[in-house]
Amino acid sequence: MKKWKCFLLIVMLFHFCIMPVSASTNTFTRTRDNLLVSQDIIVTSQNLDAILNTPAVDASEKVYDFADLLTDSEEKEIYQEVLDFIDQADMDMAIVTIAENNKNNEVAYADDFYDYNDFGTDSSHSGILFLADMDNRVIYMSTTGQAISLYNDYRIEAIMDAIYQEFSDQNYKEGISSFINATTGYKNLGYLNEMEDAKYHVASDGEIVRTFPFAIVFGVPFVITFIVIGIMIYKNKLVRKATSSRNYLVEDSANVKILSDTLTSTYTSVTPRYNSNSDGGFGGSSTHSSSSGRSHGGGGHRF
Amino acid sequence: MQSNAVDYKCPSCGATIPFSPEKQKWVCSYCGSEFTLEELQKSQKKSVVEEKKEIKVEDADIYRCQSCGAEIIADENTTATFCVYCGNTAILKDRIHNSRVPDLIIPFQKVKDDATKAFEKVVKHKPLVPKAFKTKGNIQKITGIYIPFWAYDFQVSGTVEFNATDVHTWTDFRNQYTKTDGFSVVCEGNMDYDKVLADGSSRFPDDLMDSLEPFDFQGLVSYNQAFLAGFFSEKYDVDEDKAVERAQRRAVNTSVSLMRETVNHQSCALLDNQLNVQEQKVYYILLPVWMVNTKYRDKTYTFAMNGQTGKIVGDLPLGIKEVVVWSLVIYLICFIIFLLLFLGGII
Repeated sequence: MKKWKCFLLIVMLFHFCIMPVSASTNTFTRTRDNLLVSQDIIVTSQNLDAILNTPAVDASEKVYDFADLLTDSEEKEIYQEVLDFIDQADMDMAIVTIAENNKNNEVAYADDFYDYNDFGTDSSHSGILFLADMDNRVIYMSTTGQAISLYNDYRIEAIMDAIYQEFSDQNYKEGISSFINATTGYKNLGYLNEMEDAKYHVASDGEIVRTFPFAIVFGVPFVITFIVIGIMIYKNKLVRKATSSRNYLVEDSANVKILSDTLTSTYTSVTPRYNSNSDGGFGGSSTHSSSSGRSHGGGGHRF
Repeated sequence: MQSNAVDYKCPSCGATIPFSPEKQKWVCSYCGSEFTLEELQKSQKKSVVEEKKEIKVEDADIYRCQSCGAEIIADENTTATFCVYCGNTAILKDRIHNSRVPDLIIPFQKVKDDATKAFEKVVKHKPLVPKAFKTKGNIQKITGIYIPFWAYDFQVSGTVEFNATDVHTWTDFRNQYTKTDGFSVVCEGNMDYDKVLADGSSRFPDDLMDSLEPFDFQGLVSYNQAFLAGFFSEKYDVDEDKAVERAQRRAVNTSVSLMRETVNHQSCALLDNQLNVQEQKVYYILLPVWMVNTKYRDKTYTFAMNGQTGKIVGDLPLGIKEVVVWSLVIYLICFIIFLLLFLGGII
């Protein structure tokens, strides 16, 4: 009987531990003695304040609605969507909303929140953090590890452009769902080169759809028609002015030689080659280093 | 006036004997006899001795068009009833006086049917030509006429200066470099030209006459009035001193072009031209042309066919309906192709 009670207690405790806390976000207090950061974070005097100013949370909760933009049921739905993304994409995701930003900007907040709460699925800490910063009225996504390559600047801009209106309209749940939809869609699309990537755009619901190339489908035939008709009209004119007399040149009579060939000027122009800050390969986004020293990509949009 | 002028009456029956481009002989349309130029000349000498009659080149009729001013020469057996250029029937007959005798002539090698077929073939493959224009009925007159040309032998010599440029680009891991070198190139040369043509008729724009070229000068023979039998001929109205300017320009253009080809640089622009054109000899030549007069919507369109090579020139009318229909067809085809490319994921 005692054993049975113990087993029940363990089961209840386990259940309690793995249950998501959706209704409110649990935060822990960081102190100089207990910074609550991953062991691979090198703490220096430069990033100590950044760590202490970053809320410590349970990385498994995934949805951190500090700004209280979502209802409990919305948080639950988004939490499930995030889990689905993590399952499909094999990379982490966190959704954060804040009413006040105690950092310099949304980039620093998002990067620090991701790094100092130990998000990420693999050794490169692959994952995405979405931040809705109500203080600065900006939405921002921070990418880490594999996500930097997958979500290049074009894709980030396309996602942000598609969803920012929802935040302007205070449809936060729809905006965040669209974000998760879009990131899932791009994950399914995989890595594409720039030309291929440009063929797609993000719909307002986050679906990745082929962009109909109006200019090509309607414009290029117009140009071709113009050229072809021009050639046909030209061919209707069977009169050409003669400016040459080559037909009348006496064979082998031409005796031409070069008297002089003098260099009169020389000039060399130097143009710096385009220095891409991307990861190469599939392009990826431009990157920056956070206070932890890790590399992040990302981009945002004001709303 | 012209010692080698021949009587183009059939030595057998005395009927008019026209030159046949197909057989390159004179064929009597009445008795069917065929004669070469030598045979006709022999016959003429005989007849001159027998009848002591001399045919002069001045014994030709000239028809002056009251509309366009063209002067058409015809032998006494060929009557012009309309202007071969503008189609006007208001023409006045006169006698020719002391006209310069041509030096050389290329006899007709293409017959009237060739001109009709060539015209129809050209029109057939031009989709923008109005359908109504393509029908045979539009060909009003087809006339064989010898057009006067001046031909000049030139010797061109001198120097030409070019501004030449070479551009090289290369890269290293940091920069792209573009090196532009400018050169001054002076070329010297001389070359000869044989019978550079310039038309002696002001009746047509120069470019229309230019377009009839090239003529094969292997077909040039000494002029004989007998070649005119059955055809018209125009009297030149641009004299040799005036026409030489165009021929000289052509010779200079070609000489500069030849010199430019020797310059071993990527691009080259003419800076100075010190070429001297010496006129060695000038010929008065008659070249064979079939004039095809057509009418469409009360407007006359004149085409010319090289009577030696069969090349046809002239500006064809444009049909607005045809242009619109073809534009729509091409646009739709391209649109469908691009739509399919989009649906296929290629664009």
